[in-house]
Amino acid sequence: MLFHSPEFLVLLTLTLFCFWPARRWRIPVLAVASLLFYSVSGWQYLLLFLGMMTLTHLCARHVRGRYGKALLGFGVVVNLANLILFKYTGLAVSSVNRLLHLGLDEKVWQLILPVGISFYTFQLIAYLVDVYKGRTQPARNLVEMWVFIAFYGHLIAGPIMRGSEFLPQIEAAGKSRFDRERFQYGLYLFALGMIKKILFSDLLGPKADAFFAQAASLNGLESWVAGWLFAFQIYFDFSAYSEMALGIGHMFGFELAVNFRTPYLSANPEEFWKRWHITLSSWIRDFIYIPLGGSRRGEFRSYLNLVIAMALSGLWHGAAWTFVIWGVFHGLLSALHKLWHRRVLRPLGIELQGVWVRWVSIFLMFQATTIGWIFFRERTLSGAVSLVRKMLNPTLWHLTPLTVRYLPIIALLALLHGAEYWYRQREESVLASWRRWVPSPARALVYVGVAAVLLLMLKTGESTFIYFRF
Amino acid sequence: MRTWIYALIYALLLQFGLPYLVPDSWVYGSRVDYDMIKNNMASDLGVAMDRAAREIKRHPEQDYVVLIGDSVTYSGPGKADESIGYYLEQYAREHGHPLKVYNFAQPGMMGGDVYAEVLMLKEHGVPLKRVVLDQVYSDMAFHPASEPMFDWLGDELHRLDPEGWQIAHGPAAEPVKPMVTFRQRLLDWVSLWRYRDFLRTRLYAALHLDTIVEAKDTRPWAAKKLWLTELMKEPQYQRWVDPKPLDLTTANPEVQLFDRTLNALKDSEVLVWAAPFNQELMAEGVARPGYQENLKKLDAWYASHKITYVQWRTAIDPALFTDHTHLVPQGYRQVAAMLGEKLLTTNP
Repeated sequence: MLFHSPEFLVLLTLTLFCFWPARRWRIPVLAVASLLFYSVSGWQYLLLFLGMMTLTHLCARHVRGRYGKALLGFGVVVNLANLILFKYTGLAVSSVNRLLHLGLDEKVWQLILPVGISFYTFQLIAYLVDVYKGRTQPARNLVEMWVFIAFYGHLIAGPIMRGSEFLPQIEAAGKSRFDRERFQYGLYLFALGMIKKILFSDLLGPKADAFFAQAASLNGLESWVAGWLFAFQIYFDFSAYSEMALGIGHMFGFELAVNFRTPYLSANPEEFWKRWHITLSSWIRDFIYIPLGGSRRGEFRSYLNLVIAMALSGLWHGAAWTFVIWGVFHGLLSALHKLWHRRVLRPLGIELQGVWVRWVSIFLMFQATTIGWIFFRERTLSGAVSLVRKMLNPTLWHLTPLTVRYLPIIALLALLHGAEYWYRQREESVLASWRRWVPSPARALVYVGVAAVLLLMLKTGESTFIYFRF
Repeated sequence: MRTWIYALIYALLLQFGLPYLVPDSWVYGSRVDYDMIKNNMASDLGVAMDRAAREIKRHPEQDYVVLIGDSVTYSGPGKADESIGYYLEQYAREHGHPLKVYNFAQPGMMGGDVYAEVLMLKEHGVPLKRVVLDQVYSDMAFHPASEPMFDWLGDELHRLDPEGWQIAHGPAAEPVKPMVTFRQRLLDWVSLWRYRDFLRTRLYAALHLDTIVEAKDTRPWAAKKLWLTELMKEPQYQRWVDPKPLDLTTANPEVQLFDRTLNALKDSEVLVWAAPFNQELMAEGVARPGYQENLKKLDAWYASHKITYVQWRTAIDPALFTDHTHLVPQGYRQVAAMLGEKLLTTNP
């Protein structure tokens, strides 16, 4: 069920109507609503999800006891095995098949991926580890546990919530009062997400698809345009979802974690991962990078750890080698950036500062990110490499009618990204001014107008979120 | 709170005012644009039917005819102003008998869709005084038992005549999902949703955001002869000249559907025309004695019904075809002229 589908809007409205008046029943209401929400994807997957959740809950209840370490290991292994079975069996079989020429029918091994499995697995593992380490208390009961993991605001594509952030909010849900301003803010965020999805992502998607469909015949500059279009498409798509998730959270009085902070304004890889899919980056840091040794085992080991962590992050995104390459690319980018600072700038006593340095860095980082997106978007490694080669060869950068048409659009999207940053910095005062200075009839007209345009542009059935695949 | 009250007022104004704000020309122009409505066929055709009903009621003095059928009546692959409906109105005007043509044909429509469309037209209050149906041999002759006899309006058929739906649906057809139907009917109640394909098309055009529409190849078939000759060897095209003995008893579900269609049109004047067929491109198949025998049987069968039946399979010069059955604009103009002549003489 998609956030921008009529079915979801009906479910959301009904849940809200049942949630707020009945204090004692708030959590059961959310539990049932989330159950309904997930059951649409198939009862078999719902049972699997419930099974994994119950098992993790039971482990967590006893993970601080006598057999804590064993239970922790068991819980983590079972969750990972579930993810690996459904997500990576196909990739493993096809890789072995091609390597050893076994002649297996690969289609037989391609299992249908249960919706949201990557997200809920990471959340369950994080929860179990956090309980084990005493960073969070175990959920009081199975219903609260279910809402923590499966609250439909974040179930399918995050944000990946940690127990310490979300469980206390769930436990306090029965006591919270309806806050009209907060509810309206939730609506506003939800509408903002809808705008990003329907007016930007869904319109950019077919254009990007058309470029990638003819990747072989693109010149260097057209390949860049393809990359830039996809860069903005995936940003609008995923941040739209996250924005809607935040909005839904606020409507129920919850504060979900922010996942995006205008990431293309990052000046280096480290900053990028603090602004792009923030909850996943934190998860990777806490549960892969740091356990691998982080930066505690020497400089070069820290670089290696970075590359390994990012490669696994890539693999988490999708069961294909292109995703792994995407992860490795970002790992190398991060490592090289650190190396550049430590081995070149610091010994030479150079401190690159100033507005221009920052803007040039942002520009370069965005181009590097775009190259990464090529691996993420292209289905085959050879296709991605061929595109990147063309992008990196200035002799192939030619202006064509296609680039002349799309370059202003790219520039506009970049400006819009900057404008979003500007707006986010002043969001509160802008919203206050909007309420203070714009009369009610005019505001209402804008709201109805926006809703009407969204309804008109909505692509039902054809449009899903990119991250739903993961 | 005041803002929300205002918003509610605006929303209500939009809900009840929108149907009057959208001009007829945005919904219907010589035909209902397939690319515009293909994702929401039943609902959008319903809007067009409402418009037609309203117009007919508003202008009782105006003579009109309803066209139903597949891509031939729709007049693919040409444009709306190169279609049978457009040329037919032009022909009637030139002959001093203004005639409004409501062309509800859509590419891919089969027997079940045609029947469902007739039922929908009645439901939407379109008086079916005169109805013109096209007929192609392949549909009536040998429809694979495993395939349903509808492409677009299966759910509507299920709603309007469950028995008819049973006849039309093959064993492989997916059953109607009640929730999907319920959702559609619920959403259709919202004016903005109901008109959104029509409004969106205008909005996209205004913003130059037109979605990519497949290039329509309207060249005469001779310009693509080699490719077409190869294509016609494929089984789905060989069905068009299948020589197996034709069953025109009620054991043939198509016959049952046609009977039901005629029953629904029992108070209407019905003209059925056998669509032109490219005798040159399909020369080998056309020459088969079994096929020719079937045509005779089929013509006699149609003629035995209380309808006007005309057989125009060989009436159009092969040079005016763009493939085995579709025509270039000049071809559609000729068909429109023949239809016009027939309609104006049978009911001047």
